[in-house]
Amino acid sequence: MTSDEELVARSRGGDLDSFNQLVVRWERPIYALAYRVIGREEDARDVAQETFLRAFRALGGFKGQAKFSSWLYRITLNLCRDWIRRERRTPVAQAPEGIDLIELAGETVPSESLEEVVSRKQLGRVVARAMSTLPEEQRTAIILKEYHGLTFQEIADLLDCPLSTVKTRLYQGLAVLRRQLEQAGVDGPSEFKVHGSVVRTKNRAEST
Amino acid sequence: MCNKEVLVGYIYDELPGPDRMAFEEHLASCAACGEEVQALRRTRVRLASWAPAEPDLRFEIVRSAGRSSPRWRIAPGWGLAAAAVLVVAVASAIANLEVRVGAEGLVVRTGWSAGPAPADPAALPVSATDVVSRQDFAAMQRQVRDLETALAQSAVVPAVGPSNGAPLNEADLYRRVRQMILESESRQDQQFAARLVSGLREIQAAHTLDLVRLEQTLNKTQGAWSDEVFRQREEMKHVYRLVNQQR
Repeated sequence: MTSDEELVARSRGGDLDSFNQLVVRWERPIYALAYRVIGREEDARDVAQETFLRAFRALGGFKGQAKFSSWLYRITLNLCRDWIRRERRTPVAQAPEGIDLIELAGETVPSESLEEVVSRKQLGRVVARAMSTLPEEQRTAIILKEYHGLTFQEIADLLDCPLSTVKTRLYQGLAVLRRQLEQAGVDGPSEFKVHGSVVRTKNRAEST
Repeated sequence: MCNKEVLVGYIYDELPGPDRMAFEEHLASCAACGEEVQALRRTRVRLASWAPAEPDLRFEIVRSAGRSSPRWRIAPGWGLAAAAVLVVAVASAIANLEVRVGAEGLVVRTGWSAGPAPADPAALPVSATDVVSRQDFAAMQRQVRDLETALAQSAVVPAVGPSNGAPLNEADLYRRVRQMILESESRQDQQFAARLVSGLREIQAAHTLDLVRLEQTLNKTQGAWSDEVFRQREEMKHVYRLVNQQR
């Protein structure tokens, strides 16, 4: 597979197809980042579109000083910040009114029953609600770490803050989430099934 | 006071080797940190369940033509989705499609026929009938409107490819449309399987409910029958007492 750097270089030379390959490669992670930060599907789609348009227009100024993905993340987070300021509201995760069993059944994997999918969806909503209560900087750090697999240093570079600040935000955010999930009754010790490293592997896969 | 930055580094597996070993030694003697590490790992597992919906994105940067300096815009995926709807609609027309909106919603009838289509659509041979909900119809209407918009825009602003780009763009469009149709078929298969499972479950649930109702009815009948026996026995006793008194 052609590397991001190579595609960026070709794009800078005027090859639109190369840039559109980068769009195909990164549109889902960028949309997922925007969705988790601002919590609204339509607005997240708009932010993702605007991210690629801005990236394309500013490609001349991108000298490869950071990874292309980090650069995209930075543009997305700036747009999300603008959105939050403009809307003057705390992100609220969209929760559908009902659970569509047909739709869910299509999402089942062989090892997972329909009941387990419903349970996972409901848990997802609880997590979304808990995340929406975090201060923006803690929520962003946790999203970048948990769902995009960035290192502490990458997050620090992206958010322009010291490494220790990133760790503090992650710890404080996790501690709040732990309390929220325990209060919601979904984080008891008896439910612990998967080791943390499995989560990390899954998240890295999602970000690629 | 234990170092939380080290703890969070340990949880995310970002401690250098020596620091990691030192923290593991610490964990062996610090129950509070041990408990917190376990709890925060549980929390991380829960966080993995939050996944955004999978929208049809397919963004594409295209160049606005007919200007002295190039202008850029991004084409959303729904433009192609609408194109796919058009292709399906054309294919359906070839298959003698009849579309009728009535009280029952949108009715789609298809009939493959060797000869020319009859003048009266209602006379078409019907080999399959599907009823699409009003919601689906509204969604289709929206997609058609979107398509019209996209076509109107593309007339002014053709997508940019290589300089002799039209055939390539067409090929790309056909490839994408074909992929979308295949995906749509796959989704329909999944939905069918899901509906089948759902239907079987409903039948099973209805069967269980019937059994429960049958049992309740039997219980009631048995209860009524017991009451009747008891009443008759009391009447017999009463008659018996009367007879004895008369003696």
